[in-house]
Amino acid sequence: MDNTSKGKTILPLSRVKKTIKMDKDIHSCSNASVLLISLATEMFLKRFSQKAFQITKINKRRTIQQKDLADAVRKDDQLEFLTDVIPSKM
Amino acid sequence: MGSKKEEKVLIDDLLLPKSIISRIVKGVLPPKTMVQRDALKSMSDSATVFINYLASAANEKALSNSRKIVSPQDVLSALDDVEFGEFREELNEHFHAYEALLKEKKIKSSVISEAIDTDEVHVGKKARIDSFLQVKEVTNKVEEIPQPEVIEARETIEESLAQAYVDETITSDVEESDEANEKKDEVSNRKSDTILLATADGEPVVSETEDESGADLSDQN
Repeated sequence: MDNTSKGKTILPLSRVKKTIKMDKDIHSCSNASVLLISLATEMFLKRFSQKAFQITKINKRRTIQQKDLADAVRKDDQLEFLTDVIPSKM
Repeated sequence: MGSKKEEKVLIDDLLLPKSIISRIVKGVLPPKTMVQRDALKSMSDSATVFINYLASAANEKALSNSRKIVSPQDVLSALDDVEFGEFREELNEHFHAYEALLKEKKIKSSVISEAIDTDEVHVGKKARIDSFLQVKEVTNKVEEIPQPEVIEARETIEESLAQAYVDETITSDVEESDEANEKKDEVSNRKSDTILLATADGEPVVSETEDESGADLSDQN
């Protein structure tokens, strides 16, 4: 599927850690867990962009626009948690 | 979800580097695909939200098992809760690869410690000897490593071990030390000769000792 080596993330772990720490309900998180969350986030980004790109293609464009992201979020249950994150210009 | 705006302000501080997001995204799209600047920012925001979303779900798993530390298993099982169960298999592979990497680094680091032979020998000597014996079966390269390079290599490996070491946890360091300091203050107040004017709850302490000290108390009130 992809060429990246297993077990390593290209996202900066320090920032992922900080983001996790923002949640006061989380007492502590093992480093291995931070890594897995980071990797899952990479996988999420790939998935999300693929879904958005489907919409870009339908519109016969090569540039993914924000409205493509918003459309993808609206149409897909898996992306429902992003409903308030992507501004959809009316 | 009325606090979304506030969260967005914080999210901006934590944004993942756009170049890295761009690289990840373009890696799965046909060549020459572009991403509008606003869209890239939204993807970055989305990534941050996803991190929180998954971490929170994993935390729920940990709490439901009466644990305070989020473990890799929590993260893996939380994937179903966030509708991303399809990631589980691949993420599990990553986890195993990571564990294998850790093991390898631990062994190397222990072997190099043996080669240096510092005062730290007493600490964890048995562990290192065990690792050393393990490695002897695997490699004969120890003798080939020259001294000064060994020291540098050891520091680099320990740094990366520190980042990757499984047993380390992220704790709310600030909160814990504040609590500890408060407790220390209370204890030292009790022990000293100073008159405690009010308890931690803010209630004034009514002293039943000599009138003199009673007068002092009311003066200072």
